[in-house]
This record gives sequence, structure tokens and C-alpha cells, in this order.
Amino acid sequence: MKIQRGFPLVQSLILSCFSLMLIHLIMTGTIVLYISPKLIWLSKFSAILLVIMALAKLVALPHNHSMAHNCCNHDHACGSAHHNHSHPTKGLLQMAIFIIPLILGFVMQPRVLASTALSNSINTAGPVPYYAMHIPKSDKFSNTVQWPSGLFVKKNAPSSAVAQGTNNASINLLNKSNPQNKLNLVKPLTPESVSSTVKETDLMQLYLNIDDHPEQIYNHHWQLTGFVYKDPTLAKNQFVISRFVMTCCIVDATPIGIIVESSDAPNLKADTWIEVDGLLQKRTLDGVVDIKSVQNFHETEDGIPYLLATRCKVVATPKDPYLAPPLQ
Amino acid sequence: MIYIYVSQPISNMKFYPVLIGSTLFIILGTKAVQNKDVLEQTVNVATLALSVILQALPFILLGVFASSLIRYLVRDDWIAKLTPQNAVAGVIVGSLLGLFIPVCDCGVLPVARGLFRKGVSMHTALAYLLTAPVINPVVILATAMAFQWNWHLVGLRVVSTFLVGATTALLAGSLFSPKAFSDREWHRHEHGNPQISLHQLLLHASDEFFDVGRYLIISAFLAAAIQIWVPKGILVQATSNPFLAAGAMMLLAMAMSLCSDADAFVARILANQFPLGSVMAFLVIGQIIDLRNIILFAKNFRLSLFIFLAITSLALTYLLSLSIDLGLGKYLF
Repeated sequence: MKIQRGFPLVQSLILSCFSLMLIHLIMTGTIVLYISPKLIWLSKFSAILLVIMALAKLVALPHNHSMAHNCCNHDHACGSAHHNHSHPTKGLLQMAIFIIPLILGFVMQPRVLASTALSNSINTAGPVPYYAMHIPKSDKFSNTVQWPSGLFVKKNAPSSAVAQGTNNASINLLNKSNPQNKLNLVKPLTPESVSSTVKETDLMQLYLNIDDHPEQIYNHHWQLTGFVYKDPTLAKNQFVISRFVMTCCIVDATPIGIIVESSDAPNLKADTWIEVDGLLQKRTLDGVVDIKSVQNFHETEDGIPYLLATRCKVVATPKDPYLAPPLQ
Repeated sequence: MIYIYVSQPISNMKFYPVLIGSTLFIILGTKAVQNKDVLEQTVNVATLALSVILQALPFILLGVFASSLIRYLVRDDWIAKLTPQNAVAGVIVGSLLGLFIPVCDCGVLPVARGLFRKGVSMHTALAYLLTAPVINPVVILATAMAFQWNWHLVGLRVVSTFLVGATTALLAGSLFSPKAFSDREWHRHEHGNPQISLHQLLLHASDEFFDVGRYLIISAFLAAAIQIWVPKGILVQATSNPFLAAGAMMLLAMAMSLCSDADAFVARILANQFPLGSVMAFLVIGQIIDLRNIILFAKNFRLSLFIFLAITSLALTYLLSLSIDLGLGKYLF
């Protein structure tokens, strides 16, 4: 009993430190580097609960003795009489493990996931690397694992990327393809007729529309932000502009990306955050241009999106580096 | 009233998970030393681990509070009246209980323990423990979102989890005595606590928090280390052969230890390359046996029961995955 009740002060301290850490992370905004913004309300809630628990632990101190004894007797009565009261330092040692995340939370500058997280990942090692996987071709999943555009809401889509004059035809098309869905809020990326204007967007927005409205995606100029991933199988003047998509926490983050061809590519270091303007094209991989060095692609008949960069600009790591998955 | 498990004999296998965990961590760490950007990777591991902890924290709290509420609000005689003593019925009730006490795999163990203490049969407690992380409204909804409201796939996941979890629970409940729940926490009876106060509830919840939390912290660091340091490329090579693919996906699910809310979103990516059965194996086994559960189960159960649970659920999941790929799938889709 001494072990358990011996450290209410320490436990109370740990609980309140956890709460403080949560508050610290939320206040500084670094929490979005750990968990999805849609879970922050849960963290706030936890912070409050932890404080209450810490207070309860503290109040337990003075009049705790009798209660502890009661329970102790009770346990003995239940036949578990052989619990040896081990040395208190051991109990403290067990508590010490809670200090590790606390130190990390207060001291560590969290790392934004980038190439390091990709090097041993399932997303680059498979037969089809992530940047070539936008079109799920799989037969039995054909209606299931696509990322149909009509279903998704992208709240922070820059308005410039969103069509001003959505034509009725495309809305009908969307409604027809997803009749059960009422949340038909994604506006198709209808470009202005002149395709030379550069439109700012993010990778997710392109992905969401690329299957259903390829004509609105390909052969247009886009401005994209992401980090540089250098796949060893790509040619020297190519890299992959990538972003991670986070569902709950960064362990489940999955990358999306597009191959970029740029004369600046050899000078760009991996993991640099850049802003790229370029013309998005579809390339088949049968020996066209420099992409020969990529060996594993399957989807030759379709080609993969491919951005011909006109301008590359190094930018600072954004405050919210992770994209949200569709269907929030 | 509640002990820290240190006070128990070391021979109880309590320390082994910690030992194995830290050894593995050190091995992985030394492997990284050979790399040039060790620091970079270590910070990455720490970031990932803290991310898992932060994300799991609310769900652990949910679990320990649910457990405390059960302890103080549910009366033993209700349980005796409501839960069947028949093994099969008990397993079915246990599997469906998740719909009413929804907790994910971070918080399921304290709840199962609390139910068992209240007199629920071993079958029911185990069935709840193994299936509740998937068969609960929140996770069903998340899975449906990830799979674009394809209720076929959602149903398949729920049914698969039920088949594997319930069968495992049925067999384990019949073969083992309740003594196989070796952690003393399982057998601490309170007969109708006289003074139910909010204060006691909070105390109990924070004790459970410290009891479960340490293992979650260890498993978070392990999962993060595996994520960064262990090459998983070999696992995703075996896409065409269903026999290999199922095994690879199961290994992947256990190594990644994803939360049941998020794993369907990862599975969707895998579904582009892998046969349906192996994706289902990923979704089923990941919530029954993963790093987190291995550590918690090893601490809570006698070694024989722990190994039985692991092997049975692995074998059943593998069989299920193959049967989906080699025939059953044709009837379903």
C-alpha cells in the first residue's frame, strides 16, 4: 500500500505536468506537428481531466490513510496475501517512464516528417511508389478505394484554385456519380480557358480531382508547395514534390507527391521545402524523356502526372506541413 | 488497494515485456549509429513516439474513466443477471458490448478488466477485449469513411474481426481457468462499494492511468523506432501471392500498431496493391495483436494464455485472409 499511496504527490505532479505539456503544445501551435487538428479538442479535454485528476490525488493525501487501509484489508481477505511491499525506489523508477514524454514535449523541437520517414517506408519500397499511385486500377476495389472528387471537402483550398464559374455540366456529373452523397461541396478545379495562368493549389486538391476531371488538371499551370524527395530511381533532373497526409497522428501519415522535372533539381537538397510553378502533364513511362530510370511502374498505359517546372523557389517549412485526408 | 506491479514476484513475466522492449529498442538504436544522420533519425523517432502518446492520451483517459465508472456504478448482481453463463452466448455478448462501451485499443484493457472484476465470465471479457477496438460505432464510422462508404468492406471487417476475436475468446475461455489472468488487478473484488464519491472515481482512474500508461509509452517508442529504422520494403514486395501477402500485411499491421480509427486510411493505400484478403488481415490482426497489445497482454496474462491468444488469432486471421482471397471474395463482390 505504501507504494501506491506513497507517491500521490509525485503522481499528482506528473498528471499536472502532462496537462501543462498539452496546454504548452496547444498554445505554441506545435501540436499540429504531432496530431491532426481535428483531434485538438480531445487534447484540450484531456488537459482539463488531467488537472482534475491531479487535484484529486493531492486531496487524497491527508485523509487517505484510513481508506488505504480498508482497501488493503480487503485485498488480503480476497486471498492475495503475498504482496510484498517492495522498495519504494522501484515504484519511483516505474514512474520515471512518464517523465520521458514530458521532457520531449517541453524541450524537443519536433521534426517535420520528410525523406527520413520515407526511406524505410512502405510507400516507397513497393512495386508502385506513392507518387505514381494516384489512379487505383485495382479491379475489385474499383468503386471503393478511389478518391472520387465529389465526396471531399477541402476547407483550406485557396480560392484561386477553386472555380469561379462552375458549369452546370460538371455539377450534374458530380451528382450523378455520387447520388448518395449530400456533401457535394468540392468545387471542381475548372480552369479559365487560358491555361497559361498559374493557379495555386495543393497536392491533395489535385489528387482529388485527377481521376474524375483529368481535363481540368492536366496541361494547366499549377503552383504547388511541398518538400523535395529524391528517389534514387529518378533521373538527375527530377525529384518528387511531396506532402504527408495525416489522419490521426504522424505515425499514420502517408505521402502524396508528383514528379517534378526541373533544371534546378540537382541543386535542391532533399527535404527542402519549395514552391514550384509548372505545367502538369501526363507522361507514359515507356521510354519517354528522362524517366527511363524508373523501373517498377505498372501503369504505363495511363501515365503518371508529371510537372514541368518553370520556377522553383525555396520556402520556409510551413506552419501546418501536414495535409488533412479527404472527408473530414 | 491498487499495487504497482513491482510489488509482485518477478517470475510473473511482468518484466519480460519491458526487457524485450528495451532490448529491441537498443538494438534498433545501435543500428542507427552506423547511419550518418543519427540525430536526425533519433529526433524523428522521438517525434513519432510523442505523437502516438499525444494521440492516445485522450483515449486512454476514456478507457480508464469507463473502467472506473463500471467499478462504481455497475452492480455485481446486474452483471450476474444480464450476462449469460453459456460460453457461446457469453462470447457473442462480449463481442457486441463494444457497441455500448466504445473504446479503442488504447483503453480497452482497463474496461475488460473492470467488467471481469464485476463478475463477467472469462469468455465475455476476452471477447470484449479482442473485438471492441473494431466493433464499436466510432471505428465503424471511421472505416466507412476511409473506404468511401463501401458498407461491404466495413461489414467484412466487422464480421472478420468478430469471427477471429470471438473464436479465439471461446477457445481461450474454455481451455484456461480465470487464474490465467495473472495480473492481480483482475481479481480484486469490491463488493458494492459503500461510498461512491467522485473523488474515489478520480483516484481509481488515475491509478489505472499510471498502470496502463507506462506500457503505452514503451510501445509508442517501439512503434516509432520500427517506423523509422526497420526497412519494410521487403514486406510490400509480395503483392501478387495471397499466401505471402497475407503474412506480410499481418506483420506490417503488428509493427505499425496503428490506432483503430486510423488504420483503415492506411489500409486504403495498401488496397491499391494488395489482394483484399490480406488487407482484411491487416485490419483485423492490427487491433487484436500489435506492439501495444503484446506488451499489455504479456503483463496481464499468464504466458501460456498470452501465447495461445497470439497464435490462435494469428492463425485464424491468416486462414480468413486466404479464404477471402481464394474463393469467398468472389461471392462477396
